[in-house]
Amino acid sequence: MTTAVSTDRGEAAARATDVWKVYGSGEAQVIALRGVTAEFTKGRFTAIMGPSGSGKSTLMHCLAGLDYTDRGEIHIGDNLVTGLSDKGLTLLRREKVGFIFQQFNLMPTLTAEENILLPLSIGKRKPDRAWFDQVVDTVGLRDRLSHKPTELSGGQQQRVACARALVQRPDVIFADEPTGNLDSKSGTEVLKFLRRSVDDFGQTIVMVTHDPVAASYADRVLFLADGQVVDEMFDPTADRVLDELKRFDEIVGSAQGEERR
Amino acid sequence: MLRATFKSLLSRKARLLLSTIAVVLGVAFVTGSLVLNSSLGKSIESMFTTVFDDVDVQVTAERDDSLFASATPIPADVVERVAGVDGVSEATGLVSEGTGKLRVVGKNGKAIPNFGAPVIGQNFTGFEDPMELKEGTEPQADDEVAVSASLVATTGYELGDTLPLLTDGPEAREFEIVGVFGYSGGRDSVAGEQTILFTLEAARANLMTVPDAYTLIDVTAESGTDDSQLRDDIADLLGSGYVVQTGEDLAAEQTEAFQPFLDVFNYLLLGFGAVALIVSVFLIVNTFSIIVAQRTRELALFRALGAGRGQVTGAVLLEALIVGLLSAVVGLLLGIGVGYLGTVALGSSMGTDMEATLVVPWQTILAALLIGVGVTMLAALIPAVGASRIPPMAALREAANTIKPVRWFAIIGGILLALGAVALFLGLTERVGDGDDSLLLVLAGVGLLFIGLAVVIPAIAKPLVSLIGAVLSWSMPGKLGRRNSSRNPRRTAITASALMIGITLVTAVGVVLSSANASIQKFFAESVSADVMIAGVGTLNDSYNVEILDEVREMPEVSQAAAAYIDQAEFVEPGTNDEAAVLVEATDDVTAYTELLGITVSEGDLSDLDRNGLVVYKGWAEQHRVTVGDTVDLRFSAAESAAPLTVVAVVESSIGGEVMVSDDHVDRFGQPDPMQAYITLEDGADKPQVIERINQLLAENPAVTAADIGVLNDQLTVTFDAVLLVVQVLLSLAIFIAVIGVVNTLTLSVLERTRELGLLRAVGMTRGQVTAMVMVESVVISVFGAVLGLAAGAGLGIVVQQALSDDFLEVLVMPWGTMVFYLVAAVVIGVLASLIPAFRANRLNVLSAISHD
Ligand SMILES: Nc1ncnc2c1ncn2[C@@H]1O[C@H](COP(=O)(O)OP(=O)(O)O)[C@@H](O)[C@H]1O
Ligand SMILES: [Mg+2]
Repeated sequence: MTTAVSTDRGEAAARATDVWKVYGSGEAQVIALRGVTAEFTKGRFTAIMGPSGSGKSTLMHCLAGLDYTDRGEIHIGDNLVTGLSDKGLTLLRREKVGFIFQQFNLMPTLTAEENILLPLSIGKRKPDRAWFDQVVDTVGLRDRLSHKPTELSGGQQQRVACARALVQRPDVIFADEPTGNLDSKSGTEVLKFLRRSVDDFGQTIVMVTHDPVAASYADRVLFLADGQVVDEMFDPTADRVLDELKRFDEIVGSAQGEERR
Repeated sequence: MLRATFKSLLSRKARLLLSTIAVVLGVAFVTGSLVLNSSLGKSIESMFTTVFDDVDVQVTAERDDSLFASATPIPADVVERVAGVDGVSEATGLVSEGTGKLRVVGKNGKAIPNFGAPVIGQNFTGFEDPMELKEGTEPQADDEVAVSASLVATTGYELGDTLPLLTDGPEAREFEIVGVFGYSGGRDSVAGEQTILFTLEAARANLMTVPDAYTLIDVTAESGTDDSQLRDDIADLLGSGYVVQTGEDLAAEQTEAFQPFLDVFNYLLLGFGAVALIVSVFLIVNTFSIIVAQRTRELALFRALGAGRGQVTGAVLLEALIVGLLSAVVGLLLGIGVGYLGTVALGSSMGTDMEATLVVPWQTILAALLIGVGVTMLAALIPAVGASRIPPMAALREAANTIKPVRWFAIIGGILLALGAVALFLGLTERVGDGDDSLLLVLAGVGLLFIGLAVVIPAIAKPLVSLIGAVLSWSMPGKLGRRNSSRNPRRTAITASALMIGITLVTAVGVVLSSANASIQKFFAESVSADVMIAGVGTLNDSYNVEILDEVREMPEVSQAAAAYIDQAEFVEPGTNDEAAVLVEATDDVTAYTELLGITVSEGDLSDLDRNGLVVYKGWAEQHRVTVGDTVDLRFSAAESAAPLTVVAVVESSIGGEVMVSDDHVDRFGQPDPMQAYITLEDGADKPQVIERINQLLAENPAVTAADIGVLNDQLTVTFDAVLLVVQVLLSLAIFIAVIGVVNTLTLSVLERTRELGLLRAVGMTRGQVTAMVMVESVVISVFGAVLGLAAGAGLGIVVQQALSDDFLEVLVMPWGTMVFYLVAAVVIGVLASLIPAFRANRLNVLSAISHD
């Protein structure tokens, strides 16, 4: 199988070139990524989909400087991520990258406002007050700013996480199944918010998801299977994504069958 | 359940290690004390057994009780009578002195102080086994001596040198060293002692004052004779007035003389061991509580799978049992090692050639097991019961780290504090009544306050910790560290309390000592107007020629001088037949003496003090119900019979004495020469220069030196500093255990917050910032403990000072310097304690911290 090279118009906010990632060694060796090459254009919303264990999270972690690659190169904007020291990666994450995880996004000891400003205060940067207000109003958290995470609902917590990612104006926001733990109403709110931040503020977002409906909010969907990019789709709808996934299960199924033989 | 417990223990080796260290140290301290005590006792015993190995039976005359009395002489004919007893092969009369009256004058012209093994003077009777002549010959003339090689090694005098000795009277006598001897096996001494051998005549002239007599008879038994039988036979022959002992008796007697010292030493060490153990309890309670909290899911799963409450409690207690056993064994081994090393070190510091013998009494092993297992199990009981209350549902819930309400702590602690305050108040105000009862009440009050404080701390932890943390939270990591430290007030409180205990005790001791120091200085400044003092190192034959004082008085810079003679006399308690001892003073200038020492007359007239008169100090007068006009019979140390003396005055002095007589009596004092002198100078005199000149006048008096009276103060201060140092060193173990507690709590907290750390690292926190965050938390906890300890210690010290303000702690002085030092030390401790947990925090994989599968 050949690796699908994804192309898009415009400047790349993040770029993976022939990225390999291997876990473990010998018998227990798992190749999580097999030469992935992908570009994420500025101001676009990309969803990454694929079966469980296909390497979605691994790819995202490598892109975000949370993990080292074994081969290949990662760029965030013009910065070469590959080869950076721990310190360099830390600074990169602090200044160029925003995160939204599936759960446990917030520090329990900090208020919503302190959580939103966390990356800025870690870096001793002054928040842009007008921008902060705009973000807070967009996610609708104005009256919850002094609350601790335990006093917020799951959806509110994820919105705080979104606000945190956005307020530092990163080159790119990585979201790993941000709606995975939410009911559909809260999930929709978060997705709408992500969409708006791309449309209104020109934010670049890369989101891993299982959910075809969530993927339909994106501009483009990358399909991963067995550590490789196998397909992509522009302007996805939930139905088209679902069809694609079904097709995919068949391919993967037969591929595994072949391997067994 | 058993398998699960073992697995869980082994899978957390670091945790196991940390929780054992505290118990190991506590057990080691206690067993070390016990082993040290037994070994020291045994070593001393075997040392004396060696010393008296060659003695079959020894006869001495019964001694006078007075401190100043010299050995009662044994007439020469008694030796012949003893020699005639059946079974006696040989009876040798000896003149021997080893009570410290014989001193070598060092090359600097002053008597060498001798606090370890004694200097023994004896008449020469031949170099018999195990003695061996090394150089020179035997003493033949009365100014010749042979000395042991140990004396050569200690003093530096060698064969052919003139050896100045202080024997009797204030001036040194000179002897020539004609021989140096050692003992079989190349030993310089038997047990570190220095021996000087005189001719019989010289020994009699210098070591006792009676001609034709001995101080002891050395009896050699015929072979086949039982020593104790022979002892009894000789005792029967001599009747009362003589002490007959076998070599074994002597060894036992000497060993026993050390026992009070050993006991005090032992209680002291055990006391500190107990403190260390109490601190360990805090640490273990905390460790197990945290472990149980972190294993909530695991334990709840057990419950969900059908384990009963008892089984869950059992699992935690089983873990405690294993930790306890392991710690007991390791602690015991460590304690034995420490005890042995301590014996060796103390043996050599006592200035003796003691060989250290290791003794491990079975009680030690029992104590180690009881303490190690008992303390651990007891400490784990609360967390174990807590564990059994975890509902099975908790397994399904997200990290159920519910923080328990601290209200109960506030209530119980408040009650205890109130009770303590009441006991303290009663103890302090009812002091006029029975002194013992009120002191007991004060102690009980202090104890209650202590416990109350420990209980109430969790309730006050949150606001106090926030306050302390406010200073450190200028940055985001600082802010997070501060918030973390007040997250679980109970955990923080217990960790800090452990540190508090040690700091409380050192602070309290510091307050008492600095107050004592200030009180004594104030007392000296107010009552003693003397500028210069002549005194020795404190032995009974410190003395000087009284004529020198006349020369001192003639110096233009000197305004007044008074000599002090001291004796211990016997008197018959008025109205009874009981004999009792009384401390007697005399001076050559009563007016100057009373003025210089701040003695005031409360009744009678001092100028009436003549040969038949007696001045009594108020306290003694009240105790023995005597007043002006009464007659008291006093027998001085060197007097044959008692003299009836009439009380002419009752005086008061803050120095405190018992009675004073006219200096007409001093030739019947055990020490007929003055032992001390007090001197005041004219205004503007050059003190150091005057002291220098007085010392020149004292050149022939090696036992004493003139010194600024302030030196006395300094000597006391040095003593207090030494006491404080010992307390600090011994309590540093408790503090060390508390530090381990901080490390332990933080390490466990860090593991508990894996995800938070992952999140922080993901959003851009550097390792340095993570370290700073953990460090702030650590410093906040340890400073919290220190602040509590300083406050509690200061309070405790003030209470003690108040309680004893009438006795000797008149002034309260806080040791601010040391207190600030402890606070700074707490910051350093906090920083150091955070290193391991911070390292652990930084080693966490960012990914595993945030991944959600
Ligand atoms: N830390 C790890 N150690 C070993 N194997 C891992 C690790 N993380 C992920 N893997 C493996 O790598 C593959 C890709 O995982 P992941 O990126 O988490 O997939 P996805 O997010 O698409 O479900 C899987 O086979 C997974 O088991
Ligand atoms: Mg995943």
